[in-house]
Amino acid sequence: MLRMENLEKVYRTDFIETHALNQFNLHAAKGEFLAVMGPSGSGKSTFLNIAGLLDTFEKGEYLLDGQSVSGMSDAQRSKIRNEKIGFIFQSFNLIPDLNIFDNVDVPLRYRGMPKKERRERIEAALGKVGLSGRLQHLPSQLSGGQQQRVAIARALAGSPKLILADEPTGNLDSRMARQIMELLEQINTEGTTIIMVTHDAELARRARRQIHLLDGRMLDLEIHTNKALVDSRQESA
Amino acid sequence: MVVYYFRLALKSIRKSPVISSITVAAIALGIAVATTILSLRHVMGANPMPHKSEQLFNIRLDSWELESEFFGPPGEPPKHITYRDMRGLMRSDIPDYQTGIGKAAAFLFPDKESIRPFRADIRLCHSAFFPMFEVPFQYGGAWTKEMEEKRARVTVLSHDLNQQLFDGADSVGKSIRLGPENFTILGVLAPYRPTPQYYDVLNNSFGKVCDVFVPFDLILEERLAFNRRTQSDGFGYQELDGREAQITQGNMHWIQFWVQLTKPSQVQAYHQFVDDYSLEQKKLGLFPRPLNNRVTPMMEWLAFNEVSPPALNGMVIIGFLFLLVCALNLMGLLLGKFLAGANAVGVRRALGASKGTVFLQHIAECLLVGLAGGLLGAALTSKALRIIYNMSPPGFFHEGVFRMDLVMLGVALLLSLLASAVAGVYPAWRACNIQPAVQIKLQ
Repeated sequence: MLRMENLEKVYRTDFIETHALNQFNLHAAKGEFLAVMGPSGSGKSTFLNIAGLLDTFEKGEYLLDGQSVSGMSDAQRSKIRNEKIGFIFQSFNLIPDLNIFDNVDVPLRYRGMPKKERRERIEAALGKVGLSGRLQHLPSQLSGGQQQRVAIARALAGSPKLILADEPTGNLDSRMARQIMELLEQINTEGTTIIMVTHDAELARRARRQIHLLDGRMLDLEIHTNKALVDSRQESA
Repeated sequence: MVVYYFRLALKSIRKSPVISSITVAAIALGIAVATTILSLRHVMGANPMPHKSEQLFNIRLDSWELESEFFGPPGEPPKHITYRDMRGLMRSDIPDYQTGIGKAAAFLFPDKESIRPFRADIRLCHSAFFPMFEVPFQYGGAWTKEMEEKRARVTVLSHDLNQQLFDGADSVGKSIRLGPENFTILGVLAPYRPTPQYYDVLNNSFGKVCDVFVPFDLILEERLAFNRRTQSDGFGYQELDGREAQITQGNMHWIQFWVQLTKPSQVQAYHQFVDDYSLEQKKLGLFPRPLNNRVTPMMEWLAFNEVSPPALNGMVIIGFLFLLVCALNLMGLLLGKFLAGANAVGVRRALGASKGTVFLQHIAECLLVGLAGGLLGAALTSKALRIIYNMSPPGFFHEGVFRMDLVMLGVALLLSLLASAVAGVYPAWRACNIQPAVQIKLQ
């Protein structure tokens, strides 16, 4: 699904060059649930921004769903972002003056989908996260957990192949965090690749694989399989 | 997608009513100033008879004497002609129509007791005046050539006077008393407000039409003693016996003369006729100056007389500069507003909006601001024109000059949309270049 080879990203000022990603390699297969961990400044956000086509890189190769993203125009990158990637942010990033329905509608609008199909997708996505009855609510009228579920619905509505989650439970209490993780696991079970950046080791252990970043490099590649979780997924499959 | 952009723009405008009101007010003010000046220029510089103006010509003859000083522009003949020359020109059968134009006044004594006698403005003209200038009638029609030759006491009333004297009813066949005599009403004009009053820009370009129209030669009648109220050029003083002699033989230049020449061949022939007439007069010891006659098309005549004052062009530039200042203010306000919404832009970019999409979304908001500013600006223009009208001397302008027509409403809206879109380009460009990765993290 995602292949990064020898990726380099350098931030330059007049005085300093910072190698945010250095000879970075990563391969995530279709349907994987990958946790990315690392201390602040290790390059997690840079990795996520490049993976989500929100930022560019200097060297290396990045293939997303088999397609090289190097040299793409802004319009092409935006189209791929819209069609193949779903974002879930730590601070939800819902648009405050749009109601829930319209928030979920945003990516579908940019895809130029017919009204009927958009409505069906929005209702299905919000139904999946248990918020069917809140279509006309504004984000400010929902709890943090509910807002994050809206953000997940927004990411799901476009049926993306890849979901990039940046500390998806970072602003939630433990009960809410557990619910969100269960939701992500369910989505992954249905075939969507998920790459999740987190500081929380316990959450990371729920992923099929963890990677650790330090100074823009992959520290080691630890394949951690939560056997119970895999078993339960196999059972449900 | 366009509808979506405008829906988002409307939401954004509603979300911050104070800023939105200031942005709309900024552009409305600029539009009001620019459009007020443009409206005046539009009315004053318009072609009042676009389908016919090229066929209508003002005639001037240089009959001035050698020694007297002439106060007109150097090299130009007088703007008026004498009664004697008018008669001489009217011998020509080249024009389709021809008429002298003069202005006089007399007391009108209404039958209605509720209306006190008042001084009425009289338009002196020939019967050809009405078809030549396509003057519209509500009732009846004009007098005939025979009537004017017999100096019949007949008249055509303006729409306003008929309204005043007869409550707008058909008054044809009735009479009014002008000075010592009764005049039979042959026609009543439909509402008629030529702007500018092209046939007489020398006396009052933008005033209302005269109350009554009478055959030209009634000015000669001693008993009627119509009071000439017109601009004039004159040299010397001649002691002549009687009113008719004073007018028909005097050197007073007070008549404007118009002809209608439909074909180019007529124009050429008429030029020749006018010069031949001057040469004929020279043989009689008149017209001592070199040939210097003018057959001037209507629009050239209006321009020559600066019906649209040249100062208005300077004011138009000032108006546009003011609009530019307002647009720059608008740019600052929009920039602040758009950058304040950077997070939402970042989210939209992450969710698939391209730079172009974000740019268009913000331009849509600029256009909505422009539309509202244009409408408010048009309302302010209308009010400003009304204030200028109220401040002008009573009766000098007719109200129509200070009314905003549909053309100017369109101009106001277009100008506003254009100014807002241009003012919005930089803020929208800044908004679409917001780094989504940075904004998403900032929240």
